[in-house]
Amino acid sequence: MWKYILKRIGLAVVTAFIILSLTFIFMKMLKPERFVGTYSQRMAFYTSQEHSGYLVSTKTPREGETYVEKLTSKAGEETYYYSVPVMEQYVHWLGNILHWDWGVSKTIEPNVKATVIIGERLVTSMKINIISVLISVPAGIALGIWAALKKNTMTDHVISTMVMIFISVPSFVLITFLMLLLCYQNAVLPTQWPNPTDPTSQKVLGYILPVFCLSFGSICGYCRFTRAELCEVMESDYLLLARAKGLTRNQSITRHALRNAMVPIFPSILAEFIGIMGGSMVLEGLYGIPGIGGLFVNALNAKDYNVLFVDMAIFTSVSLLAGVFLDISYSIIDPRIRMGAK
Amino acid sequence: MDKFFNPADYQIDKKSFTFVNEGTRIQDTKFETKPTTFAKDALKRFKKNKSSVVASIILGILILMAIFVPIFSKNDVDRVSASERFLQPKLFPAGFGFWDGTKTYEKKENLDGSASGIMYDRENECPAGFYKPAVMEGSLVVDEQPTLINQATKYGRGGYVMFENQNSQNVAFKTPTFEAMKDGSYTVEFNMRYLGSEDAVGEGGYRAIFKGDYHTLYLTLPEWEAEDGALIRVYDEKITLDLSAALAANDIEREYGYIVLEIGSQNGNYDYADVEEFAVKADETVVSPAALSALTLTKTNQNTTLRTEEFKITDAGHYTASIVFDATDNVGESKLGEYRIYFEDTDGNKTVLREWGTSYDNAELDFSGAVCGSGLTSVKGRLTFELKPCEDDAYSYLLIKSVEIKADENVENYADLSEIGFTDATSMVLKAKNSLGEFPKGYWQCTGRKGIFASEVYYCSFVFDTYANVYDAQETTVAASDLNKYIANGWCSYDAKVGPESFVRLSDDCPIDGIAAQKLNSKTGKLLEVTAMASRYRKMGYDRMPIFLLGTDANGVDVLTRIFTGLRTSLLLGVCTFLFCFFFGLVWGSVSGYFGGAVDLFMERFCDILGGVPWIVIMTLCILHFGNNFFTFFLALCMTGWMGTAGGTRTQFYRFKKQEYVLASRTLGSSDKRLIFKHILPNSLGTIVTSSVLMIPSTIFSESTLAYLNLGLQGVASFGVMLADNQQYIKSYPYLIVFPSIIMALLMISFNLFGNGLRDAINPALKGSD
Repeated sequence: MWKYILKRIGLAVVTAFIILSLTFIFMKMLKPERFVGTYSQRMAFYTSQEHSGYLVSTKTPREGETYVEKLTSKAGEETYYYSVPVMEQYVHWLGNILHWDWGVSKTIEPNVKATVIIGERLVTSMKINIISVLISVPAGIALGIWAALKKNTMTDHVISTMVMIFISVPSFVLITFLMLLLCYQNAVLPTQWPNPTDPTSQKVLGYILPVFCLSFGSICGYCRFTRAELCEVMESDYLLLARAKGLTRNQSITRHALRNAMVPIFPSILAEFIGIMGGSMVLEGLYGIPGIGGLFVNALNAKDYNVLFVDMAIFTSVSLLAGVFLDISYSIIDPRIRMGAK
Repeated sequence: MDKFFNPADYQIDKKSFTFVNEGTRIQDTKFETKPTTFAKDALKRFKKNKSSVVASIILGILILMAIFVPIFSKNDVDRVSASERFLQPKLFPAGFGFWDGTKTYEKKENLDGSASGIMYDRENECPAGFYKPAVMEGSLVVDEQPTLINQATKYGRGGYVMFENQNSQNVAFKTPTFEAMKDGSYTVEFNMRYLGSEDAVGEGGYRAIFKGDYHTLYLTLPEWEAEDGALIRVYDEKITLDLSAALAANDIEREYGYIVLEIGSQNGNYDYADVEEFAVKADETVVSPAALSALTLTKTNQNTTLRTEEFKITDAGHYTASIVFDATDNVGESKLGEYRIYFEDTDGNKTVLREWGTSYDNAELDFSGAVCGSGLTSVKGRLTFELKPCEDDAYSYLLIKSVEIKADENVENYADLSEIGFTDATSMVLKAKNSLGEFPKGYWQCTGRKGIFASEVYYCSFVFDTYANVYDAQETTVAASDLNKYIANGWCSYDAKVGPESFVRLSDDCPIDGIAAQKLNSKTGKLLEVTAMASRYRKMGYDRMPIFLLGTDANGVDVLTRIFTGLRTSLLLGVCTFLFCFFFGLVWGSVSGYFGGAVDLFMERFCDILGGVPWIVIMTLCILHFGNNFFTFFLALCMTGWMGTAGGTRTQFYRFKKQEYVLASRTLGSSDKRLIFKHILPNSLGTIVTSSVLMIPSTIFSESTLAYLNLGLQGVASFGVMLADNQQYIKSYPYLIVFPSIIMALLMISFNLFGNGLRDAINPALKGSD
């Protein structure tokens, strides 16, 4: 067991490392964007980049090479910054991440450490995600169980149809409609994520729309998953046997059907909790939530590569971690299953 | 022995049995039933699934529309027509109640207590800025009570003129006037001391200027920033500036002037600084003041003035100005300021009518005496209000409700005195520069910010027919040449000699409904132009009043056509991606699945790594490297899209390659090629296709999501780009988002239902496992 878990984690770490390395190299192959700001800000930014080993500075321009930036101090002293070859930057980067140095932001919050920026945003994203997971998992499973128990009745059809519709509607359509309805037409909820200075009532109201939008997809997903699993279990022979030996329908469902149906569902709940570290790009972008999903879009538009890279790293590791967690919890719950095993 | 089973009851005579086909040979007879193929069988199963059938019909309609609507629609998506923008969706005639091309405007109460909406134009008796005939009859409701706003609008009445002094934070240090000469060498030395705390760093800089009688010399750069973009802001350091160099550079022999040090603002943030140890040094004797280094700095904050246009008064007349103030305190962050009123003639003589003070009592001021002081019989001058800046960070302001300047003399001047005063702040404020850049008579000049406070406006709510606004008949002038063209076409007849009564409309194609007046050439008597009621849609080239089922967008493009043009692009992207991914995935999966072993292991690890990258990361890298175009999206979607198909194919190959029929074929010496293409692939293709076909909607989904985040395709009218373009109008024109969203949702739902139905039909074992 431990060997299997360690192997899975090790594999994920190696995969993450390879992905991040490739991402880094591809990003460094881009033309470096110039920093726009005051002299001292630019000085600080380029010094930090030089310190990280991505740029090199000279006092005299190099022949036949285009510089990334030329800084002229008040005294008239000129400093030229040149890009270091990509693979050399990569080696420096390896050293940097060992010291947990992920560079500083260029545009989002100039000269603030990327990790600090991400850290601030991550909290907001996680808050919304935790609330929505806490709502959507029980709601989704309950709806799924209800639909499965009333299989092929009106209740089941209504639930299944609603799930089908809401799973098919793109999230931005749903968010836009809700915003239109609740924020603009009826002004019940704030049209944007509340500022830190807003009163508490506004802040609480601000959570409603994002949580609702995030929960909707998960509720539908869990409902569909639970219904399918439970329906399958309900038709199995051992459940028939359970009824035959004299258990009531309720007893057989709670003692046998639900427990067995939860085998594949439970791991995905655990994976969902890893997923709270991710942010919904669409929701955060549209509702102006200062989370890491919205940050991703902003960083991409502003070409703030250091922030973008850390954000990408988080998205990559979260998805890999969730996958590993899913597989491991599978094998703990049902030892017969060894994902990826021969 | 079971007591219920009695063998005797089941005794059957052997003769009861006969062989049906005894003696006939049936090897060569054909089956009477038609043989059913796998496809037919699947189709039969598919047909039983009602929701999937409905979904596939809807899907078919949408796809057909995506192909044919852009081809057959008369409304070109590339044609931009500014006049036809934001036409509401219309299906029914106007006045039907909904979907009739009308838009309802209502007054809205904002959360902060203010109101917004359309103002009522009392002069023209219609909503301000709206075409009166297009307002639906009987729908106009005007507020009974006026709303007070602090905004200059020509639909407002009354209120107060507020002039603000915004100089308080811009600090300037000024020296007394001295004489500077070219031959001398002058240096300016001073210390800048920073006053703010570390966290209250402003974004301003400083600059030093020598303001002479004739020249303005910048001792630092004219802007707050240096050439490299950095602010000039060195503090706690001795600064030396060379005045003589500036004099020499401009070839100035001698000039009287003073030096101003300005500590300025940038982006609205000020720097807090003070000047210390200021000295202007010279090696020459300076005429005045005696010693340059003794120059003392005075901190000057400019006063703001509000002054009338120049007018002339004579010593014979009697002139009074009645002024009504308002002492309303707390207007934003501003404070009521200290002011004075004076009459200033053209020579700069000031006759103070009210001394500096903060009394806001209404005044009746007699300024006839201003002429006496000058010793002339008449003087030109202006009535001026002067406002001091605030001591602290706030702005100061003064509210004036009305000024009326009266004279018992006829004024020979250009200005009518009653226009110099004002009783309605709104009209006064609006007397700004006209389109020619001239100041109209009676314009009040203000050196600070001139605003309005508490002017009365009426809001109204009404229903507006957007189509009538753009297309209905309107009185316009039609040139004789156009009219002759219509007559030549046989659309109408007209005799210029008889006049407007002779107009006869012969055909419905004629843009002119009736002629109201005509204009003839005064010499020749030839017809020049007529004033006619002309229908605008005919002038625009339509045969009848156009109807846009889903309205038009910000460019005046038909939304329906735009939706389906966008859908075509998105579908194209989806299908292209599907085709590429499907074939690539099929090949990859086949190789990996069929050969297995080390090849498989390597290919699987590759997929693991590539599959571990979130697609948004791949998309981002592609966008950064190749820009936002069709190819980038295709590439990025393909890079991750094929893995699903490859995985499916691999599983299917593993499943089938060990089957007996494959083994049999292999035993008979089939090549790998034959085994793959004749035996394994045909068996697994159904499952692979059905699982891969859902890639099309997911591609459309991804593309539109990205486009909605403004990361999407550029220059291509895809579905998502359209949604993203219209996103900004969500508040005022929600139909621009609603209709495309509905189509999008419909497409997704249909695709998913269709896909599920297809999977159930082809692979019945998987049924219900969605």
